[in-house]
Amino acid sequence: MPLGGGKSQCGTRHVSDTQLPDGLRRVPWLADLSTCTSRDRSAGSAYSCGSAPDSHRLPPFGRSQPTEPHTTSGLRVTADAFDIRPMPDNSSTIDTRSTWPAQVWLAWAVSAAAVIQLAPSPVYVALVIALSWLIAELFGRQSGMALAYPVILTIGASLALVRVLIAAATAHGSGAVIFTTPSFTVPRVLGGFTVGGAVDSTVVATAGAEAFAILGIIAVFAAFNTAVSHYELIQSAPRAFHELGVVVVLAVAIVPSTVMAITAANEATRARTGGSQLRRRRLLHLTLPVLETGLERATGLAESMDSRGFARRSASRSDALSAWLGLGALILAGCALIALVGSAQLAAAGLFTSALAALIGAVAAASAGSKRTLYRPRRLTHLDWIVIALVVLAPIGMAVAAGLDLAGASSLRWPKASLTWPEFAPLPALLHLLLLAPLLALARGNR
Amino acid sequence: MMGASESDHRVTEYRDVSFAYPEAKPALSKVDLGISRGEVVLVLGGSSSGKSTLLRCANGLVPHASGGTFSGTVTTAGRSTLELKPRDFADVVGLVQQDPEAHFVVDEVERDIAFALENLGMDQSEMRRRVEEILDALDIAHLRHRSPATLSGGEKQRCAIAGALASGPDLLVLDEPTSQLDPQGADDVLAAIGRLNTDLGVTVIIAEHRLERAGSLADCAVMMAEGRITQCGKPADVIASYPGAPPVTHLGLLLGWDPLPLTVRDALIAARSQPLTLKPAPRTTAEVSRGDVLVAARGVDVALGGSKAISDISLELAQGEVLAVMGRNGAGKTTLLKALAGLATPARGSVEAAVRCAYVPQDPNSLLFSATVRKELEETLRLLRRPDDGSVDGWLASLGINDLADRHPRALSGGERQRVAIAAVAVGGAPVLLLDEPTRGIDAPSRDALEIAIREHAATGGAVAIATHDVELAARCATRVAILAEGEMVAEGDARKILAGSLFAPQVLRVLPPFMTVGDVKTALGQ
Repeated sequence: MPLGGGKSQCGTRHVSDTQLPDGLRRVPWLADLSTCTSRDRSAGSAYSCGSAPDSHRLPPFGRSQPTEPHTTSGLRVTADAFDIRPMPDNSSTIDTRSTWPAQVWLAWAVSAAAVIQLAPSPVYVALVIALSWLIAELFGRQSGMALAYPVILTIGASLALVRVLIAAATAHGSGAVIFTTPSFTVPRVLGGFTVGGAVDSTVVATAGAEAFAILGIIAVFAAFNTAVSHYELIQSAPRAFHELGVVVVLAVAIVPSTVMAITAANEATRARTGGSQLRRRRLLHLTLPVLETGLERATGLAESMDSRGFARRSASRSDALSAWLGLGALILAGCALIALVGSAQLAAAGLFTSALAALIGAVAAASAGSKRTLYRPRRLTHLDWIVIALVVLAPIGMAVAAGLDLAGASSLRWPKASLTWPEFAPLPALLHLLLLAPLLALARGNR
Repeated sequence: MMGASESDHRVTEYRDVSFAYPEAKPALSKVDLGISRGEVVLVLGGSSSGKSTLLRCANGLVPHASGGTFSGTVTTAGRSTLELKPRDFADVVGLVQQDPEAHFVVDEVERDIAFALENLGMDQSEMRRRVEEILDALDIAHLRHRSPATLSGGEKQRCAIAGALASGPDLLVLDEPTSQLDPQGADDVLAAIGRLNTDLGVTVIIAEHRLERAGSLADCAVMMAEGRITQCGKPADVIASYPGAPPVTHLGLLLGWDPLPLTVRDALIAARSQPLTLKPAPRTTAEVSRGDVLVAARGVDVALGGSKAISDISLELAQGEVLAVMGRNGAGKTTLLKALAGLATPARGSVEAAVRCAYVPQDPNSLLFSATVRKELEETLRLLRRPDDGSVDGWLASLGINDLADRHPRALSGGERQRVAIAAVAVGGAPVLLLDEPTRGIDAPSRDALEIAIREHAATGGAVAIATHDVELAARCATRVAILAEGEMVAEGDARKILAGSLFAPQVLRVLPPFMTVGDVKTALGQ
């Protein structure tokens, strides 16, 4: 029965083009499909038979869905069923490409982390965290890796909290006592320190500031992980590291998929009992399915990579040379360490330089032996170099400001013992703003 | 297909191949098979019949990645799989597995397609040209910069096929590529495979359950059972003897149509040329007695990730009912079932359950962790602190998995795992069972066993709600059908009335209305 009007067997009225309500779209090819349900369907229109419901079918190749809205009234019920596209209309605009090349993001991440090291005062760390969040929001890619952003931040916050708790329980200062807990001293063989007792405000403040700096660095890494194309990052590394890089990136990608597997396992266990939460053996119910699913997925991925020629080339002369040079670098580095212990600093420096040269030679030899080619490697443009220069200027400027005491001696670092509010100086804050250089992409119209 | 004179044209050749996984019975037994250039070969068979193993031999994943005992020879593009590793076949064999998630290495479609070319050390300009061609051949150029994580199932599988095709292989191996997909995605993938074969002459070997589509693509079909090739010939002939044949094929067998139809179109032609007068005495689902309401949703909204997944849904499920919840991917079927199970909290409205509702998720793997199938079922009873009054054996038998009771659930095929998961949830005795896509990727005997179990559960005072794309399952089992779109209920009512509508019609109804199933026709014939 054509969709031009009339009544179907289920009593649902079909609507014609002119009967669709505002904003609802009609799919013209569906009119062809509807004839499939009719006994007098012409044999010539061969598309769409079988058991699949017509509303699940794609249009024949070369025929697309119109976008113009229709403006008349009709049954919303039926019209909704015609809009068959599974993805939202903006699906074709989802772009996973990174706005800036991997080298730019690497420079940004290293610079931001260095800035935190040079200015660990909580006020500046908070500024870096805010900038990182902004970067992640503006430049986060639509990829599975981006799912790891909140996970990494949560891990960072947990680590920071643990750092504070351990310090509060084990370190004891001379500041004001916040409260006192029961204490005990561990045996001498285990260090002989006291756990518990008076919780000191200075200790808590010190640990809190240090933990906050750690959280800042983790926030920078999380934003970097969200914004960078990991594959471009591998491409920008020496070829010797490409295969290793792919393996590392795939290992990092396990984080978001594991989070989803944990959610699914948790839900499945509740479903099994009709909605009630487990108390006993909960960990077992969660852990085993997640581990087994992860292993199965890893096996499937390994087979896929193997089938697609990963690690295909056999060992060459360059690999043998690289191995020997690597071994030589290791031995030289060991000798340099011994020389350093023996206070032969000149010899140590010479040996270390030789080890470094051997290591570079090993990487170069391994890269030369690699026959792996790169698909569309991204070349740095002038603007990319400008952004790199600007973000690198932030830590350099901060180091100069610290060295020349341009920002005030107590501004960059927080004097915890005094428990005063951290100072704020305009120059360091302005230098921090250089980390917003990737926003030049907005001016360029990339996003 | 098997002639010795054609050996020069053969892309791959299996000679006396036998294989057993470690500590397991033989998965392949004395298999001989030759596939000529440009052919599409369809591999049929039930769960654990050896289909996947057969396919994975083509590039040496069996035995190199699997271990086990292998004998005989497999030669692909003139290379022996025993002498070379799977990576050495990357330029001649493209392999696509059931789960497209397992395929992607790079999180950008275009670069993932180029992954094999980079590994092969192809020149950059040649690589660029090849990727563009593949993007066009599979009509996925608009997805080139997307992350696989953001794609629909059908798009993912087409991108996975593109990745396998990039190296220009002589043979494309597809292991149930549509088993994880909804009908729309499956049609999409099979249409793409058909075009690759027709336009580019790609040789394809495919294991597939959706025979109404794959059957018409294939040049020949191979039936497998217990590791042996039991039948090999024209698709229509082989499919005719397969329990999982499309309903129109079963209808053709029943009515003695020749040639046997594989599609509704063929069946309509046969029905026109061989008219049949039947007294319409079809099964009426409305006759099913409706008992007390067991669970009801009243004006329920559920929000996921800030947007409404279902909106203003009102629904009742009563004793004796089997409700099929249908609709495209993302329509809100799973969310509705989770709301009924108490796993999704309504933002508005309420869910009132008079009894316990148990939910079986789409992915059975998230549920299975015990050492054996039997222990998996016993674990549910232990959690609920209920004694085993024979229900473990009862559910093992009713779902046809009692032979698997001592096997590790993870060692089973996808269809078998699905049945174990259903049994593990159902054994808890919940009167309401909520099954999310229970027939996805399972073979015909498994599906038949599941259908019987569903009907029995409803007939004994329970109720079942099934989220499904399988209109034939709904036609055979459901007493009521609810159709969702964009989180809203677009139609709900008696299964016959809803399914008889133009959009959700089962095959038999399209050919011989008002009969919905082959069983209805059989009844009318008095058989």
